[in-house]
Amino acid sequence: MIANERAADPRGALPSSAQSGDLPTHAKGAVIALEGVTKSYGSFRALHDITTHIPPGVTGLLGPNGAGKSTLIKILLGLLKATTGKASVLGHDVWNDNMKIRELVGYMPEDDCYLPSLSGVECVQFAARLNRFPAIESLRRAHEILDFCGAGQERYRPVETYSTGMRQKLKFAQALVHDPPLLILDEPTSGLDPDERESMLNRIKLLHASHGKSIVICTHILPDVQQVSNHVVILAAGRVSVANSMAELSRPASPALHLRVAGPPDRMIAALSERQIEAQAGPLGSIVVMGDSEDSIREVWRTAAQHGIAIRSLGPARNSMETIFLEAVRGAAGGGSDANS
Amino acid sequence: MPPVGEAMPIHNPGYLPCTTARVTSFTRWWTICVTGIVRTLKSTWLKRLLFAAFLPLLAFAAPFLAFEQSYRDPQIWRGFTAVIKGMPQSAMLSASIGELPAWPDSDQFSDIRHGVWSFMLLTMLRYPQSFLIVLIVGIVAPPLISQDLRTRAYLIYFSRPITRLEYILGKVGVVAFFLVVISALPALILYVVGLLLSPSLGIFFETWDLPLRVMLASIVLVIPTTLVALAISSLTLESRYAAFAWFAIWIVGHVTYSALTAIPSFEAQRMQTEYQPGWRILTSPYQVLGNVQAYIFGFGESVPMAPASFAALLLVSAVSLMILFRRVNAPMRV
Repeated sequence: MIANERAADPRGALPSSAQSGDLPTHAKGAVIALEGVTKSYGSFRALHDITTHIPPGVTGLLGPNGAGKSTLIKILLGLLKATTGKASVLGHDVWNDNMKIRELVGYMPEDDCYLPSLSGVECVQFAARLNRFPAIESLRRAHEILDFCGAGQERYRPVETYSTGMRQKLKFAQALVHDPPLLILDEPTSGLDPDERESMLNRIKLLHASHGKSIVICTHILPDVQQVSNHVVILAAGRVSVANSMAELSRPASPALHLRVAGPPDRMIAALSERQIEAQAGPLGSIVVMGDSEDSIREVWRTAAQHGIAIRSLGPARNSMETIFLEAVRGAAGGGSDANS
Repeated sequence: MPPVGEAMPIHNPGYLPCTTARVTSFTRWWTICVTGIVRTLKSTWLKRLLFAAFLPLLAFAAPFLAFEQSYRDPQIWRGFTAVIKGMPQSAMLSASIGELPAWPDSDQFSDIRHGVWSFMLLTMLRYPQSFLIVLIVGIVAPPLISQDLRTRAYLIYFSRPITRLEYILGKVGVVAFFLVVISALPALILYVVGLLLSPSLGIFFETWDLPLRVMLASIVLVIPTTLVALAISSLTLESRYAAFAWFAIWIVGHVTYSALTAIPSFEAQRMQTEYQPGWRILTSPYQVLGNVQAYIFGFGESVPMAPASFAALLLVSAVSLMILFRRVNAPMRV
């Protein structure tokens, strides 16, 4: 009965067939690659000619409601067939090799899905058994992954009695129990209290940093994406509106410094202006200083020292995720153009 | 940052060696089936009904004992024949082996044993067990797919490497397990009891085909009933509607058959002629299944519509399977 296959065989995860000529041409090195993917439901077009790739790491997949995120995930899992185009996940063609993909991907659905009358640990064990682990090994993995997810004795309770937060943990554990190299998490922090949300984000970061997992997070909670992602794809009206690294997207159009001082910012802004340094009030009492050269930084420190102003923080200014998202969505609504980089 | 694909396992607590060995993919349907059985058996009412399903064994063991002991005493034989003639459809036995003799000798015992045992096994399957089958399938099958649709558990299955066939096979396995436990298992136990009560275990060589007929009759019962029950379950998110539809099929079918045959049957009885319901049998799933089971147990002379009944079961099974495949895939298409 034992087939002795590797659970997350690196060669299984990224086959030399990224290899085959049928896969998107820019698939090399990407965990997900899409080329001209279009999905239509009758006359309604859910996805328009999507061409992008998702590199290894943590990627935020964002978009307003109805942007086509769920459709895209279903296509990636091989549950839906794209009307046109090619797509690959971990080097496997999504339609011809979907069983292999589903073995290598852990999917945490947004929907509240559970098997009534089973306990939490039985649910996770069941998920492991569906991934062909033997019964005892599945039980062991279920317990260990529930420990990792911070589930206590409630794991022995029937799942229908679980709170929303506990069900989130359960879905996360089910997605992770077979140790997949790629995780697709749909709204992983929705319904969690601030502590649990922080813990969930830490787990996601840990899975990437210590265990090398690639993770795609679909969420509407933009600070979560900013906190854990190193790549962002924004879908709007069925098109890729933005696809870039978080570092690139966060960089403002012109270089600037983000400064916080003790007390009101007006004195510091006036002092900087006297020295011909352009500065303006930012949100929540912060100051935006134009330019991020070493000279600018030195001038800021010198000005503060001369006027006896204490600096609380000084760093390069970043675009907020809200700004990036709103610009991307408005841009798509306005012109429907691809800002894919 | 470790490159993708070189993930180290997260299940390595240090005190146990980490294994990534997998079992063969053919076990997936079995996993679904076993988990379904475990979930279903959490119902206390179901456990009580399963216990009740074995009670008819006691009632039917008595005629077996009487038959096998009646060569010693004509009184026991007379009692036995009275019981047999009181059973429904005893004319089927007469048509097969002729009228029961007043007091058979040992050769006659051997000649009629096969027919009598077949008739008693069929009667047990046809009456108490059939009633329990309808009841238990009405409890087991309705939530199997409808609950998965309502709780969106289909995402748990189909985001993993599960095919529709494996999913359906797993669900069929759950219902089939309970059907076999209610129908084939008691009948096989009854057969073994009959062997143990008989004067010689050599009687096995006279009756060896009966366990096979029991199995075949169970298969013929299991396939269409399971597929119909699951197809109904897949058509709704509410398992109570599925249960209602399941019971309605049996009740409406039986009432229709009774309404169509009551007057002609009464007329035939008055005229002292034999009444053949003909095509009317096809209106009742209970009659169709009984017809086919009677044919399998060797009472073909009394089953005029056997080919039509087989064809009806095949057709119903095929349609149910088509509905199942279509409905199981439906949530994925939106």
